[in-house]
Amino acid sequence: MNSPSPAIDTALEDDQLMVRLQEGDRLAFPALVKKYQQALLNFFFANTRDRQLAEDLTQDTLLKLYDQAWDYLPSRRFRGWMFRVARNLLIDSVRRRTNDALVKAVQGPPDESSLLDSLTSQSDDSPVQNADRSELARAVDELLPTLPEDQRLTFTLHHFAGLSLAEVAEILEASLATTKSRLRLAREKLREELEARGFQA
Amino acid sequence: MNYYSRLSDIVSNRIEDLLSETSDQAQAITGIIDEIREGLTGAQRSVKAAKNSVDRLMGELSERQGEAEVLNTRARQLLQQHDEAGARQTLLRRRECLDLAAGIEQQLIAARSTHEHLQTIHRAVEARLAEAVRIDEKLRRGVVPIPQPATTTKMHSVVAAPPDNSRMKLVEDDLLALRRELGHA
Repeated sequence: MNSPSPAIDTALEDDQLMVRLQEGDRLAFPALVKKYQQALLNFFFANTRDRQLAEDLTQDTLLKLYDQAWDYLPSRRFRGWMFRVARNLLIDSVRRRTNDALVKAVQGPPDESSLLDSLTSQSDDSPVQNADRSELARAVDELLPTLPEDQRLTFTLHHFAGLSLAEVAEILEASLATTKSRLRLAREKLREELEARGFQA
Repeated sequence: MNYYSRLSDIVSNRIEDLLSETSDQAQAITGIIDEIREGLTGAQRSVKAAKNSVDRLMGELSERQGEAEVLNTRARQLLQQHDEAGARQTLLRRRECLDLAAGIEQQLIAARSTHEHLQTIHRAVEARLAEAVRIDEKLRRGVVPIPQPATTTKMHSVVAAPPDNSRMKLVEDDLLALRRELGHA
């Protein structure tokens, strides 16, 4: 007999934590925070390029998760539910800001440390490989704001938050085919731009 | 297939609209009923947790108020014994107790509001389940549900769960009001 996949395991575990939270067990909350704080931070940073804002939005998402725990239906789709909350907060935040966060990010200080570095670097790599990777990460980081919103959100949810395409489709309220197409377009555009900058495809 | 992403979707999404998007309505209504039942279990969980929170805060508030009362009595005794400094110190502690109680009272207001909100959601999900069961009945009889405004939906005798006493009391009050309106009282 096949054992359940890790994805199913984690979905089940998330549901169990949410049920505990709904039952009033406050200890379930730190467990969820520990599990998803970094993924949320990566998602927000990739979309805002602002570390402080990404941290604030992560906090807001987690608080909302706590306050709205009653609204969650344990159907093994916790990540989709949480990232939908995150996506709505991101959109609200971008709309609220007079200077669009993305525009500001493009013009932001070049020395701002990039989470992309930590996402793409691997400790086993040589210093040269790490440097290349870091340079590539920075380039992707710079190019992300140039993508249309739907494509950027699809790309970052899939690659930065580690969600499956089905989960991304649910969060963005799009069909799986549309989501795949958005991801393909985002990749094509990034590849094109990276090649223009001298990176190999 | 999932018909609902959130508990509040059960309240806000019309069943007829969900059914109109599917080819096999009989199968869909079964799935919808299952999901609403799961939602109802979740709503019950949340209502219970909210009630526990209210009870806990009420207990703590009562404890603090009782403590303040004891300190007041103690201060009175000290004053009767001409220990003004001791009485002042005791009243200071009493004041701290009351401040704490005031803070807890605020939390209690919020907790009660949450509890009421969740009870409302719970009842709405119960009502949606009753509606789903009625639609299921119709489909079994071969009647295709036609999308129509919820206000024109007729009541049927089939209900998902027997209403509790408080609900029945409200229904009886409504019935009495209607009788009076019609001059049948």
